[in-house]
Amino acid sequence: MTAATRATRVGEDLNRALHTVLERDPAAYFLGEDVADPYGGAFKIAAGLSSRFPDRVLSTPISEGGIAGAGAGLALMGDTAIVEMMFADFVTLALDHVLNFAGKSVAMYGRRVPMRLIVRCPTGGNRGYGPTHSQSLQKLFLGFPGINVFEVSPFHPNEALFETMLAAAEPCVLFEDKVLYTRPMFADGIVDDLLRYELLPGTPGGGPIARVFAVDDAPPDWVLLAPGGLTDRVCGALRSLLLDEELSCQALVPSRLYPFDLDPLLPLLAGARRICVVEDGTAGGSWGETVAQAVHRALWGALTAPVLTVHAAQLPIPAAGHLEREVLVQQTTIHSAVLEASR
Amino acid sequence: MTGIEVPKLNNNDDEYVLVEWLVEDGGQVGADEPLVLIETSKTLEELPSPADGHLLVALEPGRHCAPGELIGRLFATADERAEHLARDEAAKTAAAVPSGAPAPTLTNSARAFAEEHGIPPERIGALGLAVVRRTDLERLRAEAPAADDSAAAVESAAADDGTLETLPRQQQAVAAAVTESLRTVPTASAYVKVDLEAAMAACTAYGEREETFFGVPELLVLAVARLRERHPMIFASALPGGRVRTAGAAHVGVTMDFGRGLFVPVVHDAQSRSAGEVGELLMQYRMQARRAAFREQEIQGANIVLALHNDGGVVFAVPIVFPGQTCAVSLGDVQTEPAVDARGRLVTRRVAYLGAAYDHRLVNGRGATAFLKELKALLESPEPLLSDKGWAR
Repeated sequence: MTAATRATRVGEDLNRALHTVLERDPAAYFLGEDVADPYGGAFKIAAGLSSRFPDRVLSTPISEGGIAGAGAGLALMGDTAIVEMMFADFVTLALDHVLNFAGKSVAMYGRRVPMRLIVRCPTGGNRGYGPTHSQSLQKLFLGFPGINVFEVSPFHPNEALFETMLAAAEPCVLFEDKVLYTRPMFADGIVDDLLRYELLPGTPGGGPIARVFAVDDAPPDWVLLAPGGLTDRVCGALRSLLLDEELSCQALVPSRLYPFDLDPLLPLLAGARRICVVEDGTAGGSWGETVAQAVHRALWGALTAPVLTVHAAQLPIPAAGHLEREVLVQQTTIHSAVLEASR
Repeated sequence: MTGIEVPKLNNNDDEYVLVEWLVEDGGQVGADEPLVLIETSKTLEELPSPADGHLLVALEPGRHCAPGELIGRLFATADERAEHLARDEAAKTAAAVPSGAPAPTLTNSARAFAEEHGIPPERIGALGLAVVRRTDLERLRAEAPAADDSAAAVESAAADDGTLETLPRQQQAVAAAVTESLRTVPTASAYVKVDLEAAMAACTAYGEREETFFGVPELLVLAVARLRERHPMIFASALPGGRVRTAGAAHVGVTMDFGRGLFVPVVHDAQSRSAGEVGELLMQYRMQARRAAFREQEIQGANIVLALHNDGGVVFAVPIVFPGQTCAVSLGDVQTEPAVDARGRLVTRRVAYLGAAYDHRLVNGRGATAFLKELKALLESPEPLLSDKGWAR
């Protein structure tokens, strides 16, 4: 046996996908802080890229505004730009270039201008990095025409994900949960001994949606909607809710968070007794609330109760591990919320 | 044989990947020579061999391993290794399940139901379900009730959905002690009301001065200990034949229960301890009570017990006098009541009920009341208890 027999980690899969993009597209650039070898970026997702493509993989000064602006300029000129924020929290410094420049360039020149810009954002907490390096800021990019929000998951192969984003020819903000980097990619429809998954087609441009279910695929008491970063915690809750509480739950993990098209999921959602949306960030203009509202509009009258939403607490994220766990959504948070709402 | 365990390599990861054994399975390795490559989420670590020996691999490369997990073994000789391997193989063969179908997953509720009613795994497997819930087994049982009498007996005892449980050993010991107490110790009790204003102010001042936690229970331990010489019977032990054994020192037990069971750790020789020592010891005991971790000597030898009921609005409680002791002092919760001060003004004051349950064979009401009155007086003028000067005898 060799090391190659183990499952690919999500971080490695992302790294391979980036290699593929740069290999296939001679007009593709990769920019970010400390991304050149041997460092390869703070989370090593850029490892090996600068050695293979030294002219197109560039370490930049510490300026998220500059990085995003340069990337948007490349995209405007017809190139492909993938830019890395060292931490998603710092993307606030790049908002002007992403929302006002790149997002608007698609539509404001009298003809459609393809903007192949991908802003990669290592996101989320549970690593003890404290309040300014642990946030989930997906909500900042919701509802802007021309801006797509995607999130990495262990269900969605990253090569296909990048193909989807580049085919959109619109700026895409890609959230990548930091804990997920070290977790294995799932393959062959198997999560673990109890859980299975399948990829539903979803809408064109949005990529497939993973449906996670127990081996017996029983009609669900609950359907949980969650971005990919929550996969481990949601799957853990699916398991404990089934084994401890005999509640049959399924999870739906989309690849594209915004725009989010519910239509392909409506038959499944209508068949569930209850629906829950889980997200890593805080409530207040969030993805979870947006989805919950869309479900209410689409299924009003068919729902037996309001959609349950689970978010992080309205507090800065503590650096101390035991406090951070209380503030952020955990498996137990999901379990307790669903159980409580089932009573 | 030496086990090879994965050390904790960082604070980020719950598990690592075993990348490669640097010594082949069965090969020989010396202590501190490179043995195995472990990959964390950030680094690749080369672990040295913990000892000389012949390697037996327990975890193949490419598999995940958690800190503390056994990933291999080292044997002094190749023969020892072969012997271990043979035993291992035999055990595996014996444990192998003949059936080819994967075993179904039972929910915890279904598992409990199956155990309670003695439903064998074959019958559960025959359902052909991947996940078995309680209702599946209830249906199974309704179709073909178990003939097992003992299962039926257990069931009838649990007919109202109750369960059969065994008390923890700790609580069984408490049960034996209180039963023996009620059987053998004829107790009476008396209560006094104590003005706690001075005591609480003194404790706060002391705590701030010494930068420590100090409360009324600590003060009470000091006060009780101080009264041993004047009230020897309160600390005595009743013997058969109308005799008693008096105590040479005050060993004050203090009740503590933080949900891990009732403990009565003892402040030994409390009469010769300073306020600081008592405070420190009780804090240490509280931490131990939270962990349910006491050494035998820490809970042995009390000749009086202080039963704390000083929270939750408890007015007073009649404590149990432990067999072999004569008196248990109880302290109720602090209450606020109106009072008239020396200048005739209406004020509020904090009070608590202080009680003594005592063995009436050794102590009469007069003696118990005198003890309580002196205890009350000490608490209401607490300064001498807290000054180490003129305290040691």
